[in-house]
Amino acid sequence: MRKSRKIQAPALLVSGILGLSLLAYVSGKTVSRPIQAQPKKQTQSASPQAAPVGQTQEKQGVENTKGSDKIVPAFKNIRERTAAYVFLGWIWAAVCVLIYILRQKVKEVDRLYKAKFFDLPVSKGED
Amino acid sequence: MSSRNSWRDFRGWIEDRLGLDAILDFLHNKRVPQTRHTVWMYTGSAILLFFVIQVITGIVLAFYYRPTLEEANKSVARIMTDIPLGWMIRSVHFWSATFMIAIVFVHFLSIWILKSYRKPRELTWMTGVFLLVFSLAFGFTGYLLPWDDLSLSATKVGTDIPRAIPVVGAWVTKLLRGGDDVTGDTLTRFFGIHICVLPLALLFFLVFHLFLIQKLGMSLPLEAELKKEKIEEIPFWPNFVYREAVVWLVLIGALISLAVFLPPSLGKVADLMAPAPKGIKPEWYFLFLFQTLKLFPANILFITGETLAVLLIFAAVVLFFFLPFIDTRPAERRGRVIVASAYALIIYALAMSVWSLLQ
Repeated sequence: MRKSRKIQAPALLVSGILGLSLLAYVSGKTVSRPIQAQPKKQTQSASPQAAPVGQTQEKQGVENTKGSDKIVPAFKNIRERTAAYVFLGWIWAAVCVLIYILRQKVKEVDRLYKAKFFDLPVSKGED
Repeated sequence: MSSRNSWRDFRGWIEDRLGLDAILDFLHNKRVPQTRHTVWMYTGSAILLFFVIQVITGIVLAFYYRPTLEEANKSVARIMTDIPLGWMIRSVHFWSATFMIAIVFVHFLSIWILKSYRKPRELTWMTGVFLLVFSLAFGFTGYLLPWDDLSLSATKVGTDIPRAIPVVGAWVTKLLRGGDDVTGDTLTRFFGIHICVLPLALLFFLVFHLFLIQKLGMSLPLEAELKKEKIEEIPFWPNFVYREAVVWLVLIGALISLAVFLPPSLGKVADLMAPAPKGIKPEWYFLFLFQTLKLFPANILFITGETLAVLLIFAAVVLFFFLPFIDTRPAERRGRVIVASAYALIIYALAMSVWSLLQ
C-alpha cells in the first residue's frame, strides 16, 4: 500500500502540472472562435479574438443566418487545430493517469475488504 | 498535523448536524454482486453522469438561447460563433444527449435480457420506462430548438403522427403544437417542456427509481437465484464506485473527443412557408419507428395504414410497460420467448435504422 502511494503522489503531481500548463496554453487558443460559416460568402469576422459579448456580436449572428448558409463548425487555422489536439492529448493523458491511480485504489480496497477491514466499527468524527 | 486536526474538527461539526456517517455506513454495507453480468450495472451510473452533464451544459446554453421565432436560430448561431467555447458547450450537450439515449437503450435491453425486472422489481422497471420516455421526449423537444429548416420539418412530421390516433389524435397534435400548425408558439412550448416540465418529471421518477434500487438492492442473475448459488459480493463504497469512476473517465474522454471533432452544425433559419426539404429524417433513435411507419400502405381494410401503425406501436409500448407482469415465469418457456423477442427487437431496430439511413 505504501509502495502504491509512493507511485501515486508523483504521478498526480506530474499530471497536474502538465494539465495546468496545457490548459493555460490551450485556453488562450480555443477561446477564440473556431467556427466559421461555410461557404464563406457571408461577412463573418475573421478576428481571432473573441469580442466582448454584446451588441456587436448579435449583429454578426444576424449576418451569419440572414442568407441561406449553414453554419458548419470548423477550425479556422492550423493553430486552432493544434490547440484542439493538445487539449485532447491532455484529456486522454489525464484519463490514463487517473485510471492508473483508480486501478491501484481498486486493488487496495479489494484487499482491505478481503481482510475484513470494512467490518470494523467506524468511530464518530475520525478519519 | 494541524490541518489533520482541522479536518477532523470540520468533519465532526458536519457529522453533529447532518449525521452523514449513517449514509456512509449504508453505502459500506450495500453489496454489489460480482458476476460476468456486472458490467451491465455500470450503465445506470453512466446514464446519471450524462444527465448531469446535460443539466450543466443546458443551463449554460439557456443563458444565451432565446426561444422566439425571430431569435431562436440567431441565438444558436451566436452561441456557436461569438460566445467563448459556446460551440463546444453546444457540442457536448448534443453528444451527451446521444450517449445518454444510447446507454439508456443498452440499460433497458440488459435488464430485459437478464430479467432483472422480476419480482420484487416490477416498479423499478415501470419507473424506468417512464424515464426512457422522458429521455426520448428530451431529444424530440430539443431537436426543434435551433429552429432550422430540418428541425422544423422533423417536428412537423413528428407532431403529426399522433393525429392518426382515433378520437383524441387531433387534440393531442394541437396540444403538442399549441395550435393547428408548428409556429413560434410550438417553439416556446417545446422550450418550456424541455427546460422545465421534463427535468422536473424526470427528477421525480429518477428519485423514486433510485430509492427502489437502494431498497431492493442489485438483482442476482436468474440462474444463480434458481440454483441458490453463493455469489461473490463487494461493497458499493468504495470498491464498486472506484470501478464505476474508471468507466466515467473513459466516457468523458470519448465525449470530449467527439464534441471537439464532430460538433453539430446549424441549418439556415426555418421558413414556415417553405416546403419540407427532401430526405428529412428524425434523430437516430427514432429512425426505426420512422421507417416502420413508412412501411405501412395508405389503407388496410377499413382503417388507414398510419392509424394501424400508430396503434400497433402504442400496443407494443403498453406490453413493454407491463413486461414484469407478463413474464411471471421467467425460467420457463414463456420467459425464453420474451428473451428471444428482445434479440428480435435489436435486430429489427438495427435493420430498419440502416435501411432508413441508406434511403
